[in-house]
Amino acid sequence: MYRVMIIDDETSARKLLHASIDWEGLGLEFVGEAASGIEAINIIDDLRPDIVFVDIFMPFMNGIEFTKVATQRYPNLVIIVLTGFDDFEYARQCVCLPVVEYMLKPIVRKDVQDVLIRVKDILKKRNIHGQDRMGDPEINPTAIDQIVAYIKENYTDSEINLASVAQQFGFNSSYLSRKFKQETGQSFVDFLLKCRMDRAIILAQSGKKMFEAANEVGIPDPNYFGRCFKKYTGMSFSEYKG
Amino acid sequence: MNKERSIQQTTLLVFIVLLLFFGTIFITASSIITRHSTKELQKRASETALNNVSTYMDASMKNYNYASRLIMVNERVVHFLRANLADKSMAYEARMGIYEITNMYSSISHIDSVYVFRIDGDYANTGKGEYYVDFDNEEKERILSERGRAILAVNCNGMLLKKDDTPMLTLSRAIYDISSQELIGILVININTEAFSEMLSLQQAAGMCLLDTQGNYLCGDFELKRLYTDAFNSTEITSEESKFNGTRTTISGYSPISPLVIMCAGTRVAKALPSETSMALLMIITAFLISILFLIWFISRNIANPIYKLDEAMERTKSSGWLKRIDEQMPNNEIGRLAESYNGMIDYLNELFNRLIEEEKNNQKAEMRVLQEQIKPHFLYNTLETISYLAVQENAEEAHSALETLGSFYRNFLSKGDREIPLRRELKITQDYLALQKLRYGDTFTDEYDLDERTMDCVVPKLILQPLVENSIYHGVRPKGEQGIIRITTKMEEDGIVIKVYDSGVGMTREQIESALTPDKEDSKSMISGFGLHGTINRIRYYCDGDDVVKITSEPGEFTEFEIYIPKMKEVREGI
Repeated sequence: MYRVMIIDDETSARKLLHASIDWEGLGLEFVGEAASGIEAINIIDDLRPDIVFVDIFMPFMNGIEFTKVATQRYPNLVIIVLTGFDDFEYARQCVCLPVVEYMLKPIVRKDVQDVLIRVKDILKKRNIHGQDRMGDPEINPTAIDQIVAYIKENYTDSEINLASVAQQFGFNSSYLSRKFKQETGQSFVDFLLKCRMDRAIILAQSGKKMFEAANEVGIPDPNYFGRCFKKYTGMSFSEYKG
Repeated sequence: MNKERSIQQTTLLVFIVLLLFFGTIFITASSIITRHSTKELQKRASETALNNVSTYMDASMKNYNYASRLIMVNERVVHFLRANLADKSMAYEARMGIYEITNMYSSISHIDSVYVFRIDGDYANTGKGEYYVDFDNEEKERILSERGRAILAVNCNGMLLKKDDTPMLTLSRAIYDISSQELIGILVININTEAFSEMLSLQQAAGMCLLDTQGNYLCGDFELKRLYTDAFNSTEITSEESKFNGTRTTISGYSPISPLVIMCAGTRVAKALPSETSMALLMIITAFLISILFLIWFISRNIANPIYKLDEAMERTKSSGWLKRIDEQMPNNEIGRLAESYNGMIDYLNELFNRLIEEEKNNQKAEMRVLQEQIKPHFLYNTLETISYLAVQENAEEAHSALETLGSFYRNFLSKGDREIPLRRELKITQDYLALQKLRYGDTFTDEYDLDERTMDCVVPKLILQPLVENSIYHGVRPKGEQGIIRITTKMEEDGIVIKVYDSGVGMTREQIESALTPDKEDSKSMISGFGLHGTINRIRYYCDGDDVVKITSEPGEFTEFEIYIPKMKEVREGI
């Protein structure tokens, strides 16, 4: 089962794609969606998709930028660009990136299915099953402490995530993820979010505007930031300020 | 000012004119001065000459007068005069007496002869040549009336006339007896006029002559005699302009001693103008000339040349086609400022142009945006997806399918604005269109396809099939009122593809076919509204560059078939 993720700023577009394709029938698992490139970067470590449908025109981090960042960390990720922009310049940029398919909106189910079948073949040929690689260096508690310190220091960097930290320290990302939870009692993603939200609370108390605070804590997409904040504190940012 | 002349040339011309003007003034002035001073000098020279002669004559006359007195009191002469009439020997004695005296003066005088008359008319004489003697002439009375004073006359006014007609100046006086004071005779001394010719020739004059008051020539320059007028009889010096020996000159003359008139023609004066003055004038002219040359050089160097350079630089700017600044080094004066102003203007113009270009770019961008918004209806696509999702949520599968088809149709129909697309896509547009139309009209028609896979990637003009199919529905199948067939056939041929659109509709009459196939003269108009049948046919003809690429066969009431032949164009693969 390959894992599929959709990134699009339009809810209806995400939902339509989710609803109109028979994923099970194609032997795929729909694991989640993100409303922006920023959100996708933050949750991609948890979702660990093999195939990503990504819209090009999105605020804060467009599909092209997301593709650059994501494929750097997950070289085996299959990106399917899905856009209403029938534009040569975007097409050209996509050609430079490891984008497998380029599809025009509005989507046609048959076209999407055709593409997915092709992509599955590619993944099969690469022999990727989303499994851990063996023989990675042992992660000891000291390393985890270092990583915690590193996160505390660098959480304002919007591009930081499990994969980038794993790369930084030379560990396998899923192994690191497991080990991190084992050592600290919470997932890597949750810990990073906690760092950011704690900071956000301070900023909220100091009367910062939401989009400023979002930028400052490393989540430049204020919509996603707002959702995270509410989830974390149970209150919206403006309520918290008040 | 003549436009074709440069400043340099104009200046040169002005200065040449000035030079000529000054030269003329100089020559005229100097000639006037020369003439004036020449005349003055001539006059003065003439006066000097005349005075010299006159003084000489005075002195001579005194001598002759003195001689006459000596003769008068000579014993032998007196003796002869007192004697009786016929005593010839006494006359001889008298002559000897006269000779004694005249010999004394021979070295200084030109006494031609001396006559001593007695009252009775007898006379004793000395001298050369023979004379006619007319003692009882009127002159005798005149002499006597002077009562012993000496008078001058020419030829003694006829009393004595030399036989060879040589004019003689005569000095005559009455002789009175010393003791008795009685008139005893008359003395006449004939003086050769040659006496003065030497003196005349000594004077610095073009010519001089001696005349009597009647204008009779006595001695000197004979030519000058012809210029005599009565005016010269005055005792004051009179001058006249006249032509003498071929030159205009001043003729002066007067009568210092009656009845003699001296005339003098002005000498030719070599240098009327002092050489220093000429020299000074010449130097001024030279200095003027040099300053003109310097001025021309100066103008040429400081004005004309920089202007030429400026002009050349501007010309280069013009011919280069760009608004470039002048980099040429310009003197720091008015011309430099001119160049600076020009550069300032160029800068300003460039700025204006840049602003204009920028504005134009912005305008074009804005227009492009508008066009893009029209061509890529993002909003339409997104809305279609949203509605599709609503349909999916409601499990309205048919609505979802219809929306999907509509979306697909518009995506292909509007895509990019390409003029040429692969046949596969053109077919997709047509299929989507027919699918949507079938939703509207239900079972009015069925669509069939007989496609040659080799033709699918051939490039065809965009939107050639859909309008034909549309025509088939509205003017073929639907008017017939029974279920019809629309069939699209494609076939690969050697150097092109054949596309047929068949419908089992009402068909077309010959006139309708001809009308549809008549090429539209107003191409541009049909290009704009080129999506009807007629327009589409024109468009296909235009792209394929031929009138016979579209054929229509029809049997009224049975069928219509459009046949399009498209010459082979480049093949492209669908997608990227």
